[in-house]
Amino acid sequence: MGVDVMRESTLMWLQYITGLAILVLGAIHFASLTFFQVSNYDQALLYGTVVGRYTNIAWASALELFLALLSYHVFNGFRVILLELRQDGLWTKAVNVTMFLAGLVVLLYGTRTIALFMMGGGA
Amino acid sequence: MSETERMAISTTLEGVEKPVKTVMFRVFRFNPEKDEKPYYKDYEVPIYRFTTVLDALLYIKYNLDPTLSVRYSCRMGVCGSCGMIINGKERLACKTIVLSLNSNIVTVRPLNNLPVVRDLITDFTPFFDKHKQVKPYIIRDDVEAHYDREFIQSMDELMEFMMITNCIKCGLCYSACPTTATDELFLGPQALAQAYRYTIDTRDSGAKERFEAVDTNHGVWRCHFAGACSAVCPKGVDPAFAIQQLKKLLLYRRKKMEKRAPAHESNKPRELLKKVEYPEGWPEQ
Repeated sequence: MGVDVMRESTLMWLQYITGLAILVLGAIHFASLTFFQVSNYDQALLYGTVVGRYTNIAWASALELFLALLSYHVFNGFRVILLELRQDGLWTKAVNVTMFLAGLVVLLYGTRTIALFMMGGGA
Repeated sequence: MSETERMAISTTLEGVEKPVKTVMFRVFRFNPEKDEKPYYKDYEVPIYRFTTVLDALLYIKYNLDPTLSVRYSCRMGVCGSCGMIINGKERLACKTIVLSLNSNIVTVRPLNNLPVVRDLITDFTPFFDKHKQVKPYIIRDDVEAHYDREFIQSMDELMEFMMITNCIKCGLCYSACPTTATDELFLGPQALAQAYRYTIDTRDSGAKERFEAVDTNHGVWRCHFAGACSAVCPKGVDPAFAIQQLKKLLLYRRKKMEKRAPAHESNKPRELLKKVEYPEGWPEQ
């Protein structure tokens, strides 16, 4: 997502890979909350259950990975849409930089939330 | 002559000597020197069995309104000059039989995504600029090849890009492309298909230069595979397919293509040239 840091083909390759990974990880995530859940689905969304999940290292790692994949896929996708709306050098540069920073902010803030919960704190 | 025979002859002559019907042509008109904005003007044109839209437009020009501007050349679907939007779809006017449209009103307007010069004529400068950007020619170091030799290429290698060589640069795909409509810097289906055609050609070694031209913010990755380009091509070229193949080259075969050595020159003179008898005084070949 950087400005001419990567080739467009590399960015799009990552876009496809992250899209596929989100699909797979999303399916596993959904299945873990429903089919593989020992208790019923209502309990899966209780505050205590959710916090308990964050403290599990495997769950926290999966959520962090999900967050990283989504941050890239969403903001790169948004960048592509915005680049098609208007065409000039300044706009291209502004879109590239803004989307990179926005993705980074979401990733860092989400990571902070996951880390705090894992360490027993709260957001 | 019986009534039945007279009817039979009458039916036979219809469309040859007598018009089959009269069709209303609703033609886009715009003269930037005179008009503030474009408008449509209606003309009634007698239609024979094989009257094409180009024939009808020329009928209008010669008989009804000599100010109508239309670009054409070969009249047989080869030159690609008469591309326009006929009843909402990009077509070549010279290849479109009016009766095949099955409509009593035919609306004709200039191609999309290109500036209008006048009436049905568009300015192809952006189209050809993008065509040039992808270096649509064989690139290799040994350009000074022998005149009577050819570069060895198998039939299979030729067939990989043969379909794309049918492109006549009529601009119909460029007009139909939804990405070109929103992104004016997008290279467009024609240029991208040509980029693939020359890159995949085994006689070429210019992949690196061409990849740099297409692997950009407004290059090959902006194609959403709508397929409109392939749907309107009058020569059966499939630019949408070529663009996806170009993406595959960039993702999976980039390094291999960039390092590929071009096809060698044959060590035998071409047989065709050996048979040519040059006139007396012709320089020794």
